[in-house]
Amino acid sequence: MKAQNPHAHEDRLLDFAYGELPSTEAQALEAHLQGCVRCARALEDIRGVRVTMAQLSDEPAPDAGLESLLAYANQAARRAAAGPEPKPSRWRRWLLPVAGLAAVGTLGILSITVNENLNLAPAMKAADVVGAKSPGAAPEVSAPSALEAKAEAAPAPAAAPLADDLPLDKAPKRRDRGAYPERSVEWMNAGSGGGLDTRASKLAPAKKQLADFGQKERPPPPPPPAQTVAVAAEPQPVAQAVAGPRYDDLAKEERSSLRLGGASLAREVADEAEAPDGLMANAPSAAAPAGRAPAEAPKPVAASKSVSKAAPAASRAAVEEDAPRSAVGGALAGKADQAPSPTPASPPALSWQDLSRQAQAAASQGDDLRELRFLREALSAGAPRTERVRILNRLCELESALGQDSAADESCNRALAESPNSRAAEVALRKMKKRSVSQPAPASAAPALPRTEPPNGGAR
Amino acid sequence: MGKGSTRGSMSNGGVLGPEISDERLMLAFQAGDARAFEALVRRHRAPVFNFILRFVGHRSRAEDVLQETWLKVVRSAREYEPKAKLTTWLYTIARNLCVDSTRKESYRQASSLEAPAAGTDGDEGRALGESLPDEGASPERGAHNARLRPLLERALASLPEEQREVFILREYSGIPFKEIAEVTGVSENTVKSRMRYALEALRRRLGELGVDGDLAEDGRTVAG
Repeated sequence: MKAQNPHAHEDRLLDFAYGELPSTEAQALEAHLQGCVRCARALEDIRGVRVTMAQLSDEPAPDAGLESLLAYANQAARRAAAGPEPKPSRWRRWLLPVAGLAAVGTLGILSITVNENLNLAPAMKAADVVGAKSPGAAPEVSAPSALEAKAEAAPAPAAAPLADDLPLDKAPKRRDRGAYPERSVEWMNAGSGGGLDTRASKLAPAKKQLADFGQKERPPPPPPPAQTVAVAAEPQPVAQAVAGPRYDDLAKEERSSLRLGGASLAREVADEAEAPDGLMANAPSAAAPAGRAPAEAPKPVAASKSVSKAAPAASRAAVEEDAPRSAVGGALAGKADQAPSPTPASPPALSWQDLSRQAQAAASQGDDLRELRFLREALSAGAPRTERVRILNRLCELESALGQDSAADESCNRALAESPNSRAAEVALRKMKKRSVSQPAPASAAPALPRTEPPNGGAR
Repeated sequence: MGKGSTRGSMSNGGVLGPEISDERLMLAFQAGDARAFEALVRRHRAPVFNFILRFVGHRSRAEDVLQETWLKVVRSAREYEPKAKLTTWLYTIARNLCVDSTRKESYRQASSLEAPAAGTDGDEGRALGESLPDEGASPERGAHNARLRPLLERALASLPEEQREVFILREYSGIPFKEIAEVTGVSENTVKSRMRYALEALRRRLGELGVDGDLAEDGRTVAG
């Protein structure tokens, strides 16, 4: 007897009913069903429900949405046939941000560029000021040198070259300064940097005119100067004649441009005309040789008083003092009659400039004593340092020439003490050495130059 | 079978007959053959629709779920791998959508529980078993199925969801228990257990409704 569960095959009835039971097991189950009423009844119930529920027929699927579904499937199939789309999608994904960044970057660069251009205005202004001074050196050097060469080539008396030199020393400088408004006009109208080229092109004919003017407008050689005062007075109209037209043109340009630069230039020129330092600062370029000319030949000046040699130098020195004022005044105001009179009539309270001028007038007349007196008075009137060195140097020369050795030593020592490294001090030192050699002094006197006290030490 | 050979066979103008398996058709569609998808739709549309209709018990909702099912098949075609039968994958999609739809409908019914019932306009909006005829109607042969069907639908609708889906899948869709386990995500024994409960419940419900196998076969009505 087998201890067998009579319903052991009941769990397999479902598989048997739905045909999922293997054939061998199905046969075994069928054998069991023949002897098992319970399993047979359970199988009959399953089959009964299945038969009943099989009456529930299938319903046809709706056609609604079928075409759209197939169209959608066609689209998907085309995309699948075309290949994967990750790359284009990635590209599209990156395209917008990259394009946005590029646009922002371009905008930033543009804004920076615009800002730089805007900030460039003051920078260009500063550069313009600097550049206006540096190119100004070229005309200063070239124009006078060319004109001076012509003046030297011309066999004209001393007054003629003086008349030419006067505006030539000043004119290029004024002309360059007159270029301020013109350049600013060009810069404002033609943009940064554009004005320089146009300025150069505009300056070219003016330079040519200036160079030609030295030959064409040169006045006929005046008669030999009988008096240096007259010679010194004559160049002023000539200087105005030379400088006048140019400044008139510039003034016209300034008025026409209506720029602030023109007004500022006028103020600058007026200030320079009135500033004594400006005169003296410009003087050494031409005044130094003029001042040295009589110094290097003191004996001939003192002995013969030759006007033919001394007059040009002296008159040049005198004119260089006076001409700038007249030239500037003639250019700006156009008043030739405002030129200061070179007559040596001195007012009761004279300034050191007037005294110095009178000393030079006396030197031109060969009156050494009078020159000496005016120089000393100018020194006491409070001449500035540079002028004081020059006066002391001149005093050293004069006193040495007049035999006033102690006074000469004092003047030379003072010149040395005022400016040991200056050219005037070197000249003074050279004079002292020359004098000590020509007049042998005690051995202790020569090296004790600094300790040498002039008799009138209170003049220091 | 490789993807390339599948594409080659489909693109040579061959007839997409019933001898081509579902899996080959799906691979052909993956390769870009739209006709393969159309063949799959023609082959499985009605069975899937009936499964959905019997699951959700409502025709219009069933139509929506059917369309959604096939759209999802198209969208997910790239993810299909021929490890299992296509029907398993297809019915899994349909079943999940049916579950979602049933839950949404249960929420909707709960919210409008006290609302007056809307009049039914034809069979489009009716639920299964709602068109049960009066028991006293005259039993005519031609009207036999029209009367029996609502009874069967009502008996089927009375099943719990987990039993109903198993019964539908096995009885109407012909999916073996093992695959039903994959579709429903439960073990095969659980599927069989649910099947036994479903059969027993149906038998009782059909008895309550006066429908048995003999009456059905004879064409007799429950009332008759």
